[in-house]
Amino acid sequence: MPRTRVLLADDHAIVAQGIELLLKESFELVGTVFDGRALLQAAAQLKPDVIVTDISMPLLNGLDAIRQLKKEGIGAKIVVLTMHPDASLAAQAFKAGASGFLLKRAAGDELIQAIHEIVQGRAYLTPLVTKDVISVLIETKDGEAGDEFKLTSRQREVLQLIAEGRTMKEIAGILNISPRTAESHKYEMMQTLGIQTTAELIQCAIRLGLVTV
Amino acid sequence: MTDKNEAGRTRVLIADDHPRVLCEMEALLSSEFHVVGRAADGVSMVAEAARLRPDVIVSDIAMPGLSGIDASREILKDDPATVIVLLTVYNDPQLAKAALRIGIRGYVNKLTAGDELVPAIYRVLSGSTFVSSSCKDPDSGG
Repeated sequence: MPRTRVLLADDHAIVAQGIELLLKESFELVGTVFDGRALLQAAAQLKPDVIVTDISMPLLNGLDAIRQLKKEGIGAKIVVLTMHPDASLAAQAFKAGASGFLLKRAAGDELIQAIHEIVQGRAYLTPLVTKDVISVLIETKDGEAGDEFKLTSRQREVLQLIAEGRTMKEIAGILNISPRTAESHKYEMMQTLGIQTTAELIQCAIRLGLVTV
Repeated sequence: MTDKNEAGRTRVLIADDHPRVLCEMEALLSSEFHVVGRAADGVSMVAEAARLRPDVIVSDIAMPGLSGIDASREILKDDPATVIVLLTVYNDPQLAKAALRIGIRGYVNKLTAGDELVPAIYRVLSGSTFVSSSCKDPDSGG
């Protein structure tokens, strides 16, 4: 049986090295990338069986990268590996299309086990957050949308880049759109959220977890 | 016991062959310590240790030329009181034990570096040793 091909996305180089070694012991590591945009590219090019990704990453965060990968029809199963034992984050990850969620501090045998599970079509959720995730999922009614879901995925991409301090011109370049289109995304977002200033917009990005401070 | 200069901050030499990792290590340590030198391989780590006489050396194991363990052995031969912490991807209890046997004071897994490296350095500076729990022998009971 061919070895499972795994792609890793994590912007922390020290931790990424540790995870790489773990993955190499049981799987074929096809690449490591350090931001969400590089993940989209590498996933399309390398066609891995499994993607192991962090959530907070520059240029494009892990959750939005997952949504985009799924929209593009990428077949890889996705495992989220994060520092945050946050149940609502786990719930969001599964809704976005992830098949696994676990914590970095437990990475080790648990990560290997999680990958084996999801390759066989099952989901894996770390026992460290299980109970809370179930209550979050039960409490969230269908159709109930926070600020995050009032925005389109393109708007969220623009929002993360604004919060990372990039100019409209840079944002346009990264997203391959015209500066004018980038501007209009920004203003539509401000209208949707009912806010007036860029500072408030940045606060919103932090609240949504698109960037960390 | 290592004599920690209370007036200034603890002086640290860091060694790793990956520039990205070296950069991150410096970011992780500079809030608490003064990073006085960087080395990208074992040979320059030995040279920098002799030149800078740091309070602590934090080193990778797998580096080209001279490994972090061999470089540490040379440094300890010259000055057995040197405080060295290895920061590695190898969570191998045998390797951790071997490192402590030659006088290395700390052994930290890169996976948990964010949480453990700074406390590990304080610990070894106080005269104890530190080994990440993921690198401890399950039979040793400690």
